[in-house]
Amino acid sequence: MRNLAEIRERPGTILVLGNYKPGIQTTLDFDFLSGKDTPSIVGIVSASAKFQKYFWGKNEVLIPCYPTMADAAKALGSVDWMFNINSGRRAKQSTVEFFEAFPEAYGGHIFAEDVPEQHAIELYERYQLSGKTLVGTAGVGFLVPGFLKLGVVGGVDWRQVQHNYLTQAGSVAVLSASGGMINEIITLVAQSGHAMSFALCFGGDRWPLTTPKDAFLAAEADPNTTHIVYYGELGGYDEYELAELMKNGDITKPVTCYISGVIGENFDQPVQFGHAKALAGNQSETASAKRLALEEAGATVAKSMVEFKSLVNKLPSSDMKEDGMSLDNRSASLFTSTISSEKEDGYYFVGESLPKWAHDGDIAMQITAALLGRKPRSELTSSFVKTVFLLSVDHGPQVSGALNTIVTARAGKGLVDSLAAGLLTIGSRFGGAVSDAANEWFKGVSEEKNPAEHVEAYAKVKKYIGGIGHKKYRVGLPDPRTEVLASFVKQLPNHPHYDYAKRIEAITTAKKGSLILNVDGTIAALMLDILETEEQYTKQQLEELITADFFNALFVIPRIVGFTAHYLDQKRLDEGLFRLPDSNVLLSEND
Amino acid sequence: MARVKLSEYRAKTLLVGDDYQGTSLSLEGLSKDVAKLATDTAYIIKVDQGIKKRGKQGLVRLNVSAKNAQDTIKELAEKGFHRFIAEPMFTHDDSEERYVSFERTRDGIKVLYSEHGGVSVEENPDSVQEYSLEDVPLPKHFLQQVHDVMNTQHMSFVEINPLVVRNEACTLLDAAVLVDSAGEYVSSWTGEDIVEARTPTDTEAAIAVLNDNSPAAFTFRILNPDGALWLLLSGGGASITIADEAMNQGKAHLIGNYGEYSGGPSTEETYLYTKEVLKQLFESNAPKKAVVIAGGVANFTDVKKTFKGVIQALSEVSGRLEEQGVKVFVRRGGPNEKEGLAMMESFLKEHNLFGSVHGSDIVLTDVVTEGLEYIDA
Repeated sequence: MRNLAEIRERPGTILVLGNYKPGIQTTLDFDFLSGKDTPSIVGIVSASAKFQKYFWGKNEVLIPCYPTMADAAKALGSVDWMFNINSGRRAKQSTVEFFEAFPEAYGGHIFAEDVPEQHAIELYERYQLSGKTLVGTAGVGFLVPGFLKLGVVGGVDWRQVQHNYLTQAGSVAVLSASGGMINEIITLVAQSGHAMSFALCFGGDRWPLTTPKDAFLAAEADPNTTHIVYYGELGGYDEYELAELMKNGDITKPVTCYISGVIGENFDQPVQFGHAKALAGNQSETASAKRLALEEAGATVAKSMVEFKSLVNKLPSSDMKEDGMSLDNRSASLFTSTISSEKEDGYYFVGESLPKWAHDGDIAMQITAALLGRKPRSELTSSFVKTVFLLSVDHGPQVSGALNTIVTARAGKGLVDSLAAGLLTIGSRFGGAVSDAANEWFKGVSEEKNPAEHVEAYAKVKKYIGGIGHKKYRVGLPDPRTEVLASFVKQLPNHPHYDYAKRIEAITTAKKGSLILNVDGTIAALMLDILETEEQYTKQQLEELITADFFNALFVIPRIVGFTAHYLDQKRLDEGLFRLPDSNVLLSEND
Repeated sequence: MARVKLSEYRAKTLLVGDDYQGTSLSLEGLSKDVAKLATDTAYIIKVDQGIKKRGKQGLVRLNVSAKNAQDTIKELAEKGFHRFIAEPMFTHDDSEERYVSFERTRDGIKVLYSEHGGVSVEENPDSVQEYSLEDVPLPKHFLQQVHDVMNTQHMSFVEINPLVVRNEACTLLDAAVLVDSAGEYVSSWTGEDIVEARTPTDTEAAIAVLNDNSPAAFTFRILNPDGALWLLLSGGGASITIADEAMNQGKAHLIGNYGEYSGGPSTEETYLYTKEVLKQLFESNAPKKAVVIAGGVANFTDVKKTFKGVIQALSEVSGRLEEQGVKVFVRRGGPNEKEGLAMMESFLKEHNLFGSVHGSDIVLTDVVTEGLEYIDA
């Protein structure tokens, strides 16, 4: 078992495996009330969301979630402890995965009940014997007051953390097989004026990973511990090992204990009590026999809880401070925003105050930061976004969006109505090609598609590929806009999406000269390459951007400028209500 | 991960494999099961409900023909049994019988072996010696087989007594196997193969079903159907400690039941659990009764939420409880302790059931003392 002095020196970080809100919140409350600067829980392995919100004091923090252990390892690098709240069936496998991803971790707590015996023994051999500290299976975990709370031990309500002095280091070690009784004893110890050096619950399973013997030896070795308080039950032979340790002088610190289960001796057939281990198969497993063995070895053994309480009362008391901090009346926020905020010293946008943005004077940089949700890491990114905007501002009054804006303006409506009328036409047929193209190139590269087969699949169903084809430009008559964009290729160390798009173009132009890689297709390909190489986006993040319609923004934002220009233009010209001439409409009646 | 007993039939089917010649017979499908027996074979018929020392108790019949099997089983059934096993008689000399047991421990599988098997192992306890799996003087293929089956079937303890070995062939005359209940999901045995020496009462069976269908844990066992003190306890450890107190005071015989709920049950679940406990209370003929609702200071079980279910069940029968003079004594701590206790106190007072209500400021077991004092008064 890890040395307690070392844990106090460096409590470490915790990764949670699975979802259990109160079990996570309690550790954050403990950390906060202990005066830590940041939560010890640094991540949650859970596919349910990207972040989960927890209280940090009265404020909220976001704890990142990772769908797999590998994702967690990639993002976090290293963690020190695991709090495993997977089911009994998943406990072993998830623990193995944890140590594969974090081989340097100290250990953890396995909360699950119903872990098969074989799995518990395997975990013991594989990890406990090689120096890891695993607490459980089952039980409520491990607590080093003021430093580490690994599990629900000591309660999940912040009031329990405070009232039981869980944030103040003391000298009594509380060790228990039972999760409920450890908390009962922690309360008893606190009520009688003592703080704990540590508390550890073995769990009621047959093969606890940290054994009573391990924990007793850790208490003996701990300079802060002066007394050991122990709760045991009928069933198993742990108490004989403890008695041996006391007799041999391996445990010299005074031990006060209660062994429950004398009621079991009242029946002719052995009774299985609540815990898996709590069954006395023979005389030496009975509570009475174990009480006797401990007493003979020098422990103070209580006959009843009333006596136990008075024994605990007699322990030398600690000097404890009342902590008046209240975490009452916390309420969870309804939504989360990371983009902007109103603070005491003014407004902030993507991490920077607005006056600072104004001072720097770079609108392209500000918009790029807005799109990424953070400042770009490379200047190339904002330079590319700027070029895209300059090229996409407007492509003539004939296109549906501009036309709608113009018609609405001429109907006498205001700016917002006219702009909205234009923007509402943007979709799969108008302006949506950048998004479509991004999807094509991303799938082509990430799924390692064969470009010829890719083209063939579209040809078969007679569909166009997003980002391919132009009505005017063709082979031999290149689009000057794509040539401007292509200058970015040289500045990228590698550009798989652009290369893939060019390979598609080579095939389609061989079929028909006008099926060139158009401006939308080029923007999509280069944006993907820039995000991947310059901004270190993962495949998964790129996929999320495609789903979120990110690439459409590259069209929508500049086009707002174009539509606004058309609106103002029409107001200046003021030609009155627009009506289509009859000759432009084919009137055909249904039968 | 409690250890539970497998029927002898299922144990041998798994340990021996296809060569096993036994037949399982149940009281419900008796004529159909008996029809499976061969007409030219003499059988040994045994009660198969995990009972020790069946021979001494007269639960084994030798040399039974298929024709007489039905009558033999009906005779045994009259002693209150419903599950049986029939195997072809295996003629052998008592001196051929060996004893062997295998137990899963942290340090590997511990083997106990004796040259004296059958009943004579008890007369020669010193002959039983501990071996490692490699050293025990039994055929290697048999040891390998037991080892593999123990692992794939999550067996924790296998006792074969007697075992007869002839020319490398091992015959398991009796086998007692404990399996790890937590391993059921990957094993070939099912809940159907688990035997209990005693038949569960309706309440015990209903609570077992509740337990099987919930992530929380529920146990219940009748100790004395005419008990005066009925326990509604929470927590594996606290429940034993509380029950111990009655024992300490020499009043264990007054306890009606042992049981506990833990692991954060829902309001609906505690309602169902309480309802079953109260049903047993009403069936008791004790002249004066008390209910003790108690537990330690919970780590995460919500006191208010669980008490809401308890109150719902109490309120359904509050009139009957009042008529019988039942009083309720409460001690509990944990999340939402204040709210839960206040709710309970006002309910009990309103319905004239109030014995006492305490939080974590009194010793866990004091509430038992109060309940016992009320019964004795």
